[in-house]
Amino acid sequence: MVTLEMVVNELVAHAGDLDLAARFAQVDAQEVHTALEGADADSADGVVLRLLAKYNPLTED
Amino acid sequence: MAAPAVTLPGFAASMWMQTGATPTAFTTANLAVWTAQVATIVGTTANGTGASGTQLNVEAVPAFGQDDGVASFAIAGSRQSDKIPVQSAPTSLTISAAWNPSDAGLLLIRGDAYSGIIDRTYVIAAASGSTTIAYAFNGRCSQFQIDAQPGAEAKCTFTIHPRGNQYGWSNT
Repeated sequence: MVTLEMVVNELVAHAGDLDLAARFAQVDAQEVHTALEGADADSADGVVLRLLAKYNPLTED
Repeated sequence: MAAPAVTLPGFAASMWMQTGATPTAFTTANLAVWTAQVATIVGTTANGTGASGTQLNVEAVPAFGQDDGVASFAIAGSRQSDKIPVQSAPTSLTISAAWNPSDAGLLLIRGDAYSGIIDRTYVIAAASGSTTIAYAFNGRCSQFQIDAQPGAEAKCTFTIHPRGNQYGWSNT
């Protein structure tokens, strides 16, 4: 199983279109938003998590 | 990092580049990270640290952004055609600089142009006081020309072609 950490690490090392890669990454929205709250905004992880959060919004049940 | 909620009246624009003959260009994510990434290319005059970068002494910072890319459609009999925006190519930056054979940055540019396959990270920094907004991108260099006609100061001209989608914004 691919963890969020693995996805983030892969995207941080990505040298192409980051937005496109993040759009099709398979992640859990809740996990992404939780991780984003604790991430440094001015870091590569923060950049990637913001993109993942954009394409994986939290849905209200 | 969120952009500073200030305007930059009369900001000073400057251009910076990675040093090293065979640099490792930033990953796309790191192009949008100021601390310990973009700041290492930008010099202290524009609020960076400059440990792995040098200023490119250009006559003027050129326009940057994207070209206009559209697919045009016309249907016989209809009054108006349609222009559908498509993903546009990044604008190539044609730059003039005073030619100084001792300038480390220009010599790197010349080497890149000879090679044609070296990806390097460039930064355009807009600084006002302690605030800097940086546009970082990866690009390759080509068409390096030296114009040494006797009637004027020798200058060189070259073109940086940004790699598609490899850019990021960051700020102090």
